[in-house]
Amino acid sequence: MPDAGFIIGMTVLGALVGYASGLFGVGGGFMLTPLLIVLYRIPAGIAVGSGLAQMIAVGLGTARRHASKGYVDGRLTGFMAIGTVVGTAIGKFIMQRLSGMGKITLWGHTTPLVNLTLNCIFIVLLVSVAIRFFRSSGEENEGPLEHAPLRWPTLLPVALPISGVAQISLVSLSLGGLLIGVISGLLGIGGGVVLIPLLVFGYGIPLRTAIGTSGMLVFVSALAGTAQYAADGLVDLGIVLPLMLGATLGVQVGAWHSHRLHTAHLQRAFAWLVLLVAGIVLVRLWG
Amino acid sequence: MPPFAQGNTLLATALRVGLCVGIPILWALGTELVIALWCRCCKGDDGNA
Repeated sequence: MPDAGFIIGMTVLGALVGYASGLFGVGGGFMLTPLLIVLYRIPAGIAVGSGLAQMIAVGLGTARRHASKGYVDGRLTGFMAIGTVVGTAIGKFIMQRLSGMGKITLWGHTTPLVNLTLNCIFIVLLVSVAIRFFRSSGEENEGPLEHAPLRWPTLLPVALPISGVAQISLVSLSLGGLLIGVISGLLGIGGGVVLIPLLVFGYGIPLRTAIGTSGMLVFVSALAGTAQYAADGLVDLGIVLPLMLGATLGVQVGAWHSHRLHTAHLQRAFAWLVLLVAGIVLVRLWG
Repeated sequence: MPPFAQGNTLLATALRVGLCVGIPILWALGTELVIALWCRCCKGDDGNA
């Protein structure tokens, strides 16, 4: 039977992750998993599995809150979701194949070479995303962007009326979903932190719609991930329940706050969050 | 492994997956229901603030 301190701690942790999720449409796995491992010494597999299970509730809550304001694009979610689920499996497969690459010792600390390589790529990617968001935070981005390099409108075009996009390639959307899934499977994160920049700068989706739709996609990928981890017995409902209790409150506050913040402020806040993730990855790499 | 044991293992896995996926979904839907009822009671029939 867990003690009251553990339950209160988990509830507070869930509230923090839920707030970030409601505000930015991210799942929060990148924050939750290392905190569960470092603060509570929970084994990595159970930390990831339990985090994914609570992400189902967080993602659904976030998507519902944003959908009530018209900020979830169901067609966009559907076109990307299949690619994301397939990509996650491919990412896990690649990770398993690469894990035999051996280890490297840096300053007396031994780490698998594959972890070092992937995390370095991830840090560079995150810092680039943060710089892009900081640079564009002075621009108005309430509507769809004019310059969107990944729309490829001539290749199997579909319309996304909710996002205000007249023509966008189905192939590009599927490949984008696949890419997010592969990154998610390789790095063990939900993918929302990479998905939002792809939607905004790659496809030109308005930021608020990108946030709402990302919440829905987080729900879909968390559902697929939880089923896999639960089948292996790596989901602890004793951890999931207090996390969900806190997250339920956090999501409502985060989504409420998201609708009241100016877009430029929201972009800048997201850029800081991305930098925080890069810092967490760096610390994990070092530890 | 005897066939009945394999069946039990499969059933146990299916139950575990169902619980771990179903509880968070029910939780989220229950929360939405409570919020909707709360809004209707406190802020008028349209449910908006």
